[in-house]
Amino acid sequence: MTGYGLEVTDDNGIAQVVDTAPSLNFHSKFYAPHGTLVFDDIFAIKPSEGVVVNTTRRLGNLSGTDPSGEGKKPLEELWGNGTIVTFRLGLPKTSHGFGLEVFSELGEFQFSSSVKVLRVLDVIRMDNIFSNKQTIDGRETYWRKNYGAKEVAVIVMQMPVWAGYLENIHTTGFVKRGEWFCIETGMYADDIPSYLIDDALKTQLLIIDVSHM
Amino acid sequence: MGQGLQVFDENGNIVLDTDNRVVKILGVHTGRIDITKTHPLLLPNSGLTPFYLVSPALGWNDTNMKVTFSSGGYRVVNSYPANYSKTYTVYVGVY
Repeated sequence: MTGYGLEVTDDNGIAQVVDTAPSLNFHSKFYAPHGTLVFDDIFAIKPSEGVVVNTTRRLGNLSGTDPSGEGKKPLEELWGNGTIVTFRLGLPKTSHGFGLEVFSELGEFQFSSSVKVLRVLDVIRMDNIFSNKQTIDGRETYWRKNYGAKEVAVIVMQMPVWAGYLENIHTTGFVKRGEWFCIETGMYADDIPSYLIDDALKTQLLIIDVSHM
Repeated sequence: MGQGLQVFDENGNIVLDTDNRVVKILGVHTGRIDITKTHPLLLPNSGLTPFYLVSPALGWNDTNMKVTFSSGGYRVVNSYPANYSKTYTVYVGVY
């Protein structure tokens, strides 16, 4: 508790909404085939069923048309195909006339129940993703969890895709297999000599709930 | 769920529930910086978990971007060269 201002606290005593810290809000969702350029700062990858997908960094070194018309350069390129879900801070101040809306003391938009907000399910940090490798159902799997009926996506904080000295080689990716969300060896790993992928590959991921988005 | 807080949107879809956590952003930082900030939501009694996002995602060998948390505060160090450091935006928050 901050002791002042507005807080919405859940039944576990945890602050869910406060007027001093904005939520991250759903902005857009689109199907993204292999090769799609991603321009948004905060995006989640929702893999299609049975398709291993990830991104590789481009940092503006590919030409592309920013669909938002905001003149941005591409940050990432999708490998595989899936759905991209984007989030933004500070949506325009609006009033829908219903539900819960929260603004800061400066009038900054913080939260609205009419806007879908980013909801965290898990934070994953691995110093060496390859040390977790196991074979499940015949597939090289580094991590997986059953999220039931939830629709789940991943925000990558640190990439699990780099292969030693060949930075653009895709080694791992995300895939949905029924109710399981998995990190597996990706489609481009077959031709990589093992000596190139035995470095410690630090991985940081945010697993989020994108149900009804 | 039979108790506690739930918030639904106008279509009846759940927006808030207690089995997952809404992200709250405490700071957004870009460029070459070494900054320390405090926020009451980072105190241990908040029951919240600190996290950060870096956009674009870091590569496997990136070590020039560091975010550390302490009781009641955080520190962001972006020591990339000036031009390159502008590429990265760090969102620090709790959930």
